[in-house]
Amino acid sequence: MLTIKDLTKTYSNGVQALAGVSLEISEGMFGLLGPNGAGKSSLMRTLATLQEADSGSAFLNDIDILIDKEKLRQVLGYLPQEFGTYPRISAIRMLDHFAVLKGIVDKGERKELVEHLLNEVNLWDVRKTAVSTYSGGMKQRFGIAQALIGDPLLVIVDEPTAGLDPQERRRFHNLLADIGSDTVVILSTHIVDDVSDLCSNMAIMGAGKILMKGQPNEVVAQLEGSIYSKLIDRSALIEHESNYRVLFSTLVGGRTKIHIVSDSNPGDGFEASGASLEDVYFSTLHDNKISVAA
Amino acid sequence: MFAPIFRFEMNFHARQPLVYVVSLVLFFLSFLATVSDNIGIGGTVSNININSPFNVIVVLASISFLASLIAGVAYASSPILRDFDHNVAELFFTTRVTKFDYLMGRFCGATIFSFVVYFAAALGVLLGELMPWLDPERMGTMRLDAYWFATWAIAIPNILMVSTLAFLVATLTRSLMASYVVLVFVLIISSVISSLVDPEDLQLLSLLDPFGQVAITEITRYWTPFEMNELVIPVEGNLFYNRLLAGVLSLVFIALAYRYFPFSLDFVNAKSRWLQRFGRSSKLRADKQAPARMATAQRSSANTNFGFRAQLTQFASLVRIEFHNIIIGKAFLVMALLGMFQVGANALFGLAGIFGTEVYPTTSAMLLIINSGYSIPLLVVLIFYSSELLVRDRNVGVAEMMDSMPYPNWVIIGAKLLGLMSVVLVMLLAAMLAAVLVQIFKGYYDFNFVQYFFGLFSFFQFPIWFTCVLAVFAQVITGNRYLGMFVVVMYFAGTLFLPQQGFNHNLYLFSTPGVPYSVFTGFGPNLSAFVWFSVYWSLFCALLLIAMHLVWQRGTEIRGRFRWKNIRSRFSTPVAIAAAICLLAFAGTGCFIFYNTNVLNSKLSILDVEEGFADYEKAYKQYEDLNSPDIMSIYTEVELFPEDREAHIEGTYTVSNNYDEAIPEVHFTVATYLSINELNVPNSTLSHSDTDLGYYIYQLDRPMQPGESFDVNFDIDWLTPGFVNNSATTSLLSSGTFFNNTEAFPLPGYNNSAELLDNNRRRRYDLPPVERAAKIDDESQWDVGLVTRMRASYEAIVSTSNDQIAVTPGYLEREWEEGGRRYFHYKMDEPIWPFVSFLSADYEMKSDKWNDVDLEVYYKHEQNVDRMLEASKKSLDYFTANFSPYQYRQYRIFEFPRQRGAFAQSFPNTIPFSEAIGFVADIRDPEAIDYVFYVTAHEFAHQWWGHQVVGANVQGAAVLTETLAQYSALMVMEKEYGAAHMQRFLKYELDNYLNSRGAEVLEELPLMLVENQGYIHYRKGSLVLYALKDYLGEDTVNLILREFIADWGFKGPPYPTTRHLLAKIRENAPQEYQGIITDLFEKIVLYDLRAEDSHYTELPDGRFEVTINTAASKFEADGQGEETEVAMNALIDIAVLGEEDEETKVPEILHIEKRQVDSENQTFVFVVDSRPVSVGIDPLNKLIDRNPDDNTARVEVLN
Repeated sequence: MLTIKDLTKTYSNGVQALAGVSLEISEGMFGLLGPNGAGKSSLMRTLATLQEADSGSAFLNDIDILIDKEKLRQVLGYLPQEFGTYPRISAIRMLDHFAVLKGIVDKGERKELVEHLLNEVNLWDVRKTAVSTYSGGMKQRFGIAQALIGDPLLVIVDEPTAGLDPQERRRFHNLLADIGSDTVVILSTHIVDDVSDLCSNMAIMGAGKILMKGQPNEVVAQLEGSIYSKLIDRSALIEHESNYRVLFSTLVGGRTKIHIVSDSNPGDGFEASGASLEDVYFSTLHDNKISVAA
Repeated sequence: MFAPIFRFEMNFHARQPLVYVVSLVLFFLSFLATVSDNIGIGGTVSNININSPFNVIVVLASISFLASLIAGVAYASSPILRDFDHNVAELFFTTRVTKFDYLMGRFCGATIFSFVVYFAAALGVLLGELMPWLDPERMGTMRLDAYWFATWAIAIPNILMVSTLAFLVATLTRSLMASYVVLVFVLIISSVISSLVDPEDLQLLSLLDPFGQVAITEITRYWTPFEMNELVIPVEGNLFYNRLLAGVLSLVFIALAYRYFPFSLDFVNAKSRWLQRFGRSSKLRADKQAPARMATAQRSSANTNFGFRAQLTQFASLVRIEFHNIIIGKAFLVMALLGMFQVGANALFGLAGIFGTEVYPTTSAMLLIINSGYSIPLLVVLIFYSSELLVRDRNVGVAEMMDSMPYPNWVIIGAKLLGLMSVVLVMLLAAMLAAVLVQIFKGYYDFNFVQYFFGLFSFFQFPIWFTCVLAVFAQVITGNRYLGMFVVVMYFAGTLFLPQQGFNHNLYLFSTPGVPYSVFTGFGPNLSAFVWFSVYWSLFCALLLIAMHLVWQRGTEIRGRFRWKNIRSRFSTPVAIAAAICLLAFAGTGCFIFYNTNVLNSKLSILDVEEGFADYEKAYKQYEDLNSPDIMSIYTEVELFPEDREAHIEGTYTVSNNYDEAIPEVHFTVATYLSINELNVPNSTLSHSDTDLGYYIYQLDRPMQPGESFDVNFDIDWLTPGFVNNSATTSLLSSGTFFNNTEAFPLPGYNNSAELLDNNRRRRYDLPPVERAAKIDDESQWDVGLVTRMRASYEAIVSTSNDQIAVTPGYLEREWEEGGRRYFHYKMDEPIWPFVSFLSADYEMKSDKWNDVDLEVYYKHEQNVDRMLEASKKSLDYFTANFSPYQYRQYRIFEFPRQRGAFAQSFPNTIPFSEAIGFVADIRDPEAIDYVFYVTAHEFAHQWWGHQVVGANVQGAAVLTETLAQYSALMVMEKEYGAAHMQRFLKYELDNYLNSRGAEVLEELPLMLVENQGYIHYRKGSLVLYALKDYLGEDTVNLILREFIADWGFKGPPYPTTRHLLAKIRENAPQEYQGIITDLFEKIVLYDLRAEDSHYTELPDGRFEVTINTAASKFEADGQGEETEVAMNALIDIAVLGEEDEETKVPEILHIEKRQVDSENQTFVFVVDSRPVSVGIDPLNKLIDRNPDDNTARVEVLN
C-alpha cells in the first residue's frame, strides 16, 4: 500500500508542480492520467527518490519514501519517461549490470534472471545488440525488464507508451499486465486507453492536484447518459464550443465529431453516446478549467 | 542571413558564464605576471624593463597560446556540438539560410569570444604596466607597438588557427571528445617542437612551429637587454612565412569544414546513422543465432542482497562498465597514441644535452623526459575525463534509472574515480612503452622497470592520483562540468605560482616532494618525506571521498536546501566514524609533518633564505674589510654517517696574523644548519653570538700581534633530523656524499658569497646596489687569492661506513677499519688553497698510470671511464709539455649523484664529477662532441689554473682560472680531434655566449673585467683564447702562459690580475695584432661576416681558382648591449672548403689564410688543388658573429 499525503513541490522557477497531492494506492495497476505538465513526472520522480518534496509525506507500507530512500530503492522498479544507455554495450550486458546494481549478486541466479527477463520482454534475439540502437518499443521493453529486476514492491512507469506504435503499445500493455498482483504499479500516462486497458484504479491529475480518483468503470458509469456527440463542420466548432460544454473533438472521415456533456439531450443534431474514460478525463479537466492542447 | 546567425550565436555565449570566468582569470593572471616579480611568464631578468616590448610580447604570446587552447577549442566546437545535442539544427536547416551564412555566422559568433578572452588578458598586462607601485627603475615608456605586434602577428593568427582546426574537427566528428583530442594534439606538437632545442635546427623549426614561438625565439635569442627594452620584433624572414602559414592553415581548415559540412538533416542524424551501422553488424550476429534459442534455465525472481559484499560486486560491475565506456571511445586510443608520440619524440630529440651530445637513454633520462613534457597533456586528459565520466550517465540518459537503484553512493564515486585512474594509468603505460621503444631504438637494453614503475606511478611530476580525486571532487561539488574543470586548472596554476610567492609548503599545496633518482641513492633521501606527505594527502583524499559521498547528486534535485537535507541523512554513524578517523589521522599526520619540516628543520623557502642573506649582509658587511688571521694549516677529523646522512666534524685551524698590525678580535661565520659543539678561540671571550644568522665574534683577551699564531679548535655536528618539506640536502646522502668545507666548517670573517646579486631584489631589502667584484685596480683585494689570502697545509682523517670509500684532497697515508667503520688518513705534502671536498660512496675504481702519476676514476657508471683516463693522460701530455710540471703524484676523478648538480669541480688532485654529465654521455656517435674528454681536460687544467696560479680577487679573476682552463682543454681537444672539429664545438660556445647576454642582470663586461659571469669567462673566453691562439700561434700563447706560471705559480700575495696577463700577451704579440687584442679582451665587439655569391673556375692545370666575395662589418656594444658600428679593420680567416668528412660531417679545409679585411665588401682569389665545395670568411667561427652560419657559402662553378 502506497500512501501519499499532501505532497507539495514548487520549482525554483516558480512553477508549482505538486499542490498538495494525496493518494492511497493499493497493490495492482494504478493509472495516473493527466495532460503534459500536470505534475505526473514530478510525482513519479519524487516517489522514485529522485526529487525532494517541499512538504508532505509518502510511505510504501512502512518505508518513508522521502527519508529512507535507500530502503525504498531496494524494492523499487522505475522506468523513467526518457532514458538511454551507454553506446556499444549490449542489452544483456547492460541488464546484467543493472541486476548487480539492484542487488542480485549471485552470478548464476543473475544470469538466469536476466535471461528470463529478456525472454519475457521478447528481446532475446537482440540481446547482443546495443540498447542505444533499439527502436522505441524495444527500448521501452528493455526499460520494463530492468524495472522488474529483483521483484520490486513498487513499480513506477512514467509515460511508457508515448510514441509507440499500436502493436508495440499492445505488447507493452501485456508486459505490464503480467506484473504480479502483490506489487504496486503506477502507470503515469496521458493516453486514456492505457488506463482503461490496464488499470483497476486510477486518478486524474492536473495542475499539480489530484482532480479525481476512482475505479475506471465506476467513474465512467457516473457519466453514463450525459454524453452526446455530433458530427459538425470544422468551421462550426467555435460556435458549438460557446454553446455547449464540449469535452473534445476528434476527426472522423474528415469531419469533426464533438463530445459534449449535458444533463439532457440538447437536440440540435446531437446523439446520445456511451460514456468512455476519455469523456471522464476531459470532463474532469474541463471542470477544473484545465485546457488541453488538441 | 549572416548577421542574425552571428548575433544568435553571440547572444548565446554572452549568456554563458564561461567567457566571463575565463576572461577574468586570464586578466588576473596576466596582471599578476606583469606586476609581480615572482610570477614570470616571460622570465624575470632584472635588467629588462617590466614593460619592455620583449616582455610584453612574450607574455602576450604565452597568454594567447592559453587563450587559443581554452577558448579556441571550447568556442569553436561549441556551435556544432550544441546543434547536435539539442537538435536545433533542424530549425536552421529548414529556413532559407545559406550554408555559408550558417557556418560562418556560427563560427564567427563563437570565435569572437576567444578574442574577447585574449583582449581581457592583454588588458591585464596593460593595466599592470600602469600600477604605481612598480619599480620605476624598471619601467620604460609604454610601447603600444608591442601590443599591436603581439595581437595581430601572434595572437590573432594563433587563435584563428586553433579555432578553425577545432571547428573542422567538430564538424567532421561532432564529438566534444574529438575537440579535446585537438587540444592535446596542439599541446603535444608545441611540446615536441620546444624539445628540439638544437640551434642547428632552428631555421626549419621556426618555419614549421605553428605558433610562431620558435620563430620569435630565433629572432630574439641573441637579443641583449638593450634590444629587449627597445625593439619590437620585425615581421620578416621566417616569422613572416610562419605567420603566413598560420593564416593559410586557418583558411584551409575553415574551407575543409565548409566542404564537409552536410547542410541538411543528415548532419543531425549522422551520428545515429553511424551508430546504426555498428548496430547492424551486431544485429547480423544476433540473426545468425536465430531461431531464437530460449535460455534453458530461467528464473523469474532472484535473491537480493545489499551487504558490503554485495556493494563490492556492484562496485566491480560499475568499474568494468566505466572502463569499457572509456576504452571503446576512439578518442582514448588517439590520446594514448598522441601521448606515445610525444614521449617518443621528446625522448628521441630530448636526450641531446651539453654541446648537443646525447646522454645514454637510461631509465633515469627517460623518466626526466616524461616528467618534464608529459605533465600538461596528461593533466588535460585527466581533467577532461574527470568531467566526461561524471556527466556521461546524465548525457546518455541512464542516470535517472541508475539513481533510483539501490547501491550506495560510494560505489559509484569509487567506480568513477577508478575509471579516471585507469585512464591515467593507461596514458602512463603508453608513455613508458614509448620510452622503452626509444631505448631499444638507441640500442640501450638496460631497462629498469622497477624504476619506471615507481618513477611514473609514484613519483610523477605532480601527484596524479590525488589530482584524480581532486578532479572528481571538483566535478561533484560544483555540479558543473566546466566549473569543475576550471577548479582543477586553477589548482594546478596555484601549485605553479604560489611557490614563487613563497608559499611552498606541501602541507597546503596538495603536493608531495619530488623524488629524484640517482644510481647512488636510488630514490634517495626524500623518500620518507614523500611517504609522509602521501599518507597525509591520502587521508585528505579520503575526506574528499566522504564529502563526495555526502553531496553526491542522485536524481534531478539540485537545490542547496535539499542537498543539505540529504547530507544530514547520509551522514550516518559509520560515515561519521570514518570521517572522524580520517580527520584525526589527517590532522595527526599533519602535525607530525609540521614537527619534522618546521620544528626539527627550520622552514626554508626561497624568500626566507633570501631574507636571511639580506639580513646577514646588512648586519655584518661592516666587517668585510676587517683583518682576519690567516689559516695556515687545517687538521680535521670528519666522521661521515651515510646511513643517517649526518656528519661530525672536528678540526683545528692554525691561524696567524700576517698583517703589520694587531688583530683584536676574530670573527667566524658558521652555516645556520650546523650545530656547534665547540668553537674555541684561545684566550678570548665570545662577545657576539648570532645563531640566527650564524655570526660569532671572539674578543681576544690580548690582541693578536703580527707574526703571532695559535690554534682554533672546533667540533661541529651536521645533523639531518626528521625530514624536510621539499628537498633534503643533497650534500649528505646514503651514498655519494659530497660537500666542501665552506658548507660545513667555520669560515673566518664575513662571507660575501651569500650576497644577493640582483639589484631589483636588493632594493626590496633596502640594500645598496651590488658590487659583484672588486674593481681590477682595487689594491686591497690583490692579496686575496682563491677564497683566502694564503694556501694552507692540509691533513684529514675521514671515516665512513665500512662499505664505502671516503675521500678528501691529499695522499692516502693509511687506511684501517675500526668499530665497523672505515678510516682514511689523507695528507697533502704542499700547502693548498683551503677549499677542500669530502666524498663518500660505494665506488668502483679503475686506474691507470702516466709516467709516475697515478690516474684513478671512482665511478658508478662504467661507460666513459676509459675516456676520462685517456683524457687525463692527454691532458698531462699537453700541460706538462707546454705549461709546467704537474704538482701532484695523483689525479682522481669521483662520480657524484645527480641531485647534487650537473658540474665538475677541481680540488687539489681530486675532481668530483657529476653523474649527470660525462658519466652518462653517449659518445659512441663520432659526430657527437666528446665533452667527457673536454670536461676532464678542463678540470685537469685547473690543477694549473686555479691551483698553481690564481688571480687576485678582483674583476677578471675568472679569466686566470676558467678561461685559461677552457683554452687548455681546447688545445687538448684539438690535438685529439683536429682543428677542423673545433668549429662545431666553438659554435656551441658562441651560441651560448650570445644567447646568455640577454639574461645579464647588471651589465656585460669585456672579458678582461669579467665579474664571475659564466657566459663570458667560459663561453666568450673559449672563443677569445682560441682566436688569440689563431692569431699569435699556439707556441706563442703557450710561451706566454708558461712564463705567466713561472712568474706567479705557487706564489703568495699579491696575486696577478688580467692586466698582468694582458701585458704578457701584448709583449709577445706583433704590432698588427695589438688592435685585435684590444677588441678581444678590452671591448665587447661583434662582427657580421658573410660569404656571398662566390664562384670558381677549373684551371687548365687541373687546379681551381676560387673567387670569394665577402661582406663584413663590426660593432661595439656597451654593457646593456647597445651597439655602435665601428670601422672594420682586422685580419680574418678566408678559406676554401672541400667535401665533408663522412663520419664527422666536418668539411676538409682546402686553403685557409688570414687576410686584412678593412672594407664592407671585398673579393679574394685563391687557387686550390681539389674541387671546392664552399668558401668562408672566418669559417671556424673564431670571431663573435651573431649569424655564424652565413660565414660559409656554397661555391658555384663559373661557366
